[in-house]
Amino acid sequence: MNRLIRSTLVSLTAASLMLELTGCGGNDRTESPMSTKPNQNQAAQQFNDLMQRPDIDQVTARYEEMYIQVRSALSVAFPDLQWRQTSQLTGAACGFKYPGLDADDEQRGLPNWMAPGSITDAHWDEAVEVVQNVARNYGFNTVVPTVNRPNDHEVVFYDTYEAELNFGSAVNTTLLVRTGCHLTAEAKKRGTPRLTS
Amino acid sequence: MVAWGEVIRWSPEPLAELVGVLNNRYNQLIGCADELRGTAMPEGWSGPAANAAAAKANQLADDAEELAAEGAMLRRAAGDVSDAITGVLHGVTEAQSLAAAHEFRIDDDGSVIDHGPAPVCTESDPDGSQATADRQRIAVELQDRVKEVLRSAEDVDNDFCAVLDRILSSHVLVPGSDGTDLAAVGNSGWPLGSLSIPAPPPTGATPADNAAWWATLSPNQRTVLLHDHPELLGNRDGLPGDTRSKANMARIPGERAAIQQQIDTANQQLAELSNQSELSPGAIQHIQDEIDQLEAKLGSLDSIEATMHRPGERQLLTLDTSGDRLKAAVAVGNVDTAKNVAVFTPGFTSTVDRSLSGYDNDMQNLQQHAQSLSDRYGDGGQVATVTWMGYEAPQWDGVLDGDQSVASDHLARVGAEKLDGFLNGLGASHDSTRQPLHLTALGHSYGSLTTGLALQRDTPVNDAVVFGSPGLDADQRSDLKVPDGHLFSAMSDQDSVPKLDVLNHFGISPYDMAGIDRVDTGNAISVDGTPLGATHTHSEYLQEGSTSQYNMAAIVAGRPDLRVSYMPPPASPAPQPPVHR
Repeated sequence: MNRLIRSTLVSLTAASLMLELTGCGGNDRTESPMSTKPNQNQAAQQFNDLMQRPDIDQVTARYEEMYIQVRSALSVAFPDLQWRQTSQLTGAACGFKYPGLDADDEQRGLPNWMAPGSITDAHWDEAVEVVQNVARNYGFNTVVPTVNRPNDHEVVFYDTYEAELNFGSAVNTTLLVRTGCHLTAEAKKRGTPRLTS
Repeated sequence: MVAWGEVIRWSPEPLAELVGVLNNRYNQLIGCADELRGTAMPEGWSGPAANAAAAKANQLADDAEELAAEGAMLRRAAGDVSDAITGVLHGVTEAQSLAAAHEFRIDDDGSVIDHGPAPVCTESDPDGSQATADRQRIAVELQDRVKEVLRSAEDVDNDFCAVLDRILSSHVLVPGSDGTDLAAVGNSGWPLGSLSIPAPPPTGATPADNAAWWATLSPNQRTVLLHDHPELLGNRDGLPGDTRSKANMARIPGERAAIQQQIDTANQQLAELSNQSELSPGAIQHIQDEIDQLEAKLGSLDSIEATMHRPGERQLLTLDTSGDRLKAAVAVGNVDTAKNVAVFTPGFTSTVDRSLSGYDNDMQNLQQHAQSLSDRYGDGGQVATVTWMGYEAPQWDGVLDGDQSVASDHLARVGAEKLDGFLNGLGASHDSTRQPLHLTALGHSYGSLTTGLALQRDTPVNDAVVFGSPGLDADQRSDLKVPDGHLFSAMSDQDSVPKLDVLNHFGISPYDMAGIDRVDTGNAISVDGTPLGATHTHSEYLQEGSTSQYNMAAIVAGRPDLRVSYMPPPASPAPQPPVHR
């Protein structure tokens, strides 16, 4: 293949890449997935949407309450489960879905919990129901079984904020809660995006 | 030249005791020496004899001052050497422990002897070559450590000799110093007596060299370096993540000020150019571009600080303001204490100022889920995940610009060398503390090319996942030094990036290469057959709740056996030929 054809194909490859990565080739999450170039209109709209949600501190407190109730309910149904915390609270900016909100937004991972020992296959559905009975009181109405094989189960509950309550059992039994995206208390109090304030 | 056999027998105690002895002598000297000057000329005594006596007394006082300074110098040096010896001996202990753990020994002449059994052939290493390569890597690391210990020991020895030489030549007092009383004079020997800290290994040092050097420093020396020279520590592969992070965070204000100064200078130049009667658009644009670049670096520092202040433990493992774009690496969790560490390399259009917060969200998500899987499947090992933006990924404005383009592997090659150092640094640092390490490399898009190139050198990587990959610059599986059965790929159904490299410009596609196991990004196992957790595009591989993220979390947690493997769709039946009647 001569050099001209080769370099033309290389340029076409680069151009195709450009189209793919701007979302012209697919349903990407953002305009440009690998970089959050702020679009002020989009940021303002998202800020307004998030103003309708509780702030991150409020929602964390609510999920902590749910978390305690879930662990208690499971311990009542399965008395051998002895829960212990295995990680610390972490937080991050809301990510590529929310470009341009700077430090106004936050998504948090509540501490993970684990109980040694598993829930047997025969009792798994019962355990899911125990968790579901608590979770639905907190708006976690979407239920998604993600792993379901012998001695290996996982189910994920979601609420309307895309928060996740993850419950699984294999060698041990685990719980995980991660919030959706919320404004910080300071941003919600301010009421307008940082860029325009 | 000190020998290994001598160094391992050094002891800090005698010098530490000497400090106490010298202190007593110094105090006694101070107690009587000032009296000497005071009694040199008693009141009421004058004449030639009195003058001669005074001159003699002053001479004795001068001698005493010199002796005091020598004593102080030796006292300080003895203390510093004693402290430095503890550091050197720590380096010895680490090297010996590492050797013993892997069935090596270090002889008195410093040679590293392998007395382990011959490598065993296993299913995953049928000819034993992987095991042999591992032993060679450890042997080289041990040789590096011996070299660094001896270099530090030599440094300590030379410094102490230099101090002793000054004392023996009686040239301790700084000329012109105003020693009006003996305590002050005694203290003039103090700064002269302090030893230098062994300098870090020179440019080109391996991460193992750096880890070995760090091991030879005492806690005091490390504290001094961290305070006075963080720029020597922050990006030094092989040092603990905690040290690198503290050093890099300490550097931010100074780096910010330096960049701002460059912006101010450039703005000044811009103003001068704009005021000229004949405008030079090219020159103006050049300076404006420079200002934009510098502003982006400031934005990158803002992004780093905002990310580091989010709740939870993080470490700033790399901070490099050189070049066109700022480079950084941020860990969620603690890479020193975690057993399971994942290093994620992003690709095209990634920059710290625009992308760090998004990738940090992905890494926090991955870390939390991998930790949960680690707990669920019994390992329980702590997890840390790193957004590694330690190279300048190709950008939009370079697409048609030769080796700066995303269509060229040049930037990936430059990045791979740095990623290689970073990965080996994690290994060397864990070797120092004897903390087990399960290391996973994750490469997305152009970042998978960078990762693929890095994995063609020796690294301690145990598992690797390449996703949305245009290629790895490899022609066969054996080019990639990852244990068999531990290299995975992922490709979503609507991601066309993997199919762009029509010329195999970046080597054989990882999706076509035998020996790379593809994982599922489509529907997870569900009870009613509904597709769940599928991801489709180039940018969704780390999306929460997806099969793709689950697979990566399982691999990061050290359980690749739990992954959901990709099942190709059933082939469509061939069309039946028409039946002729």
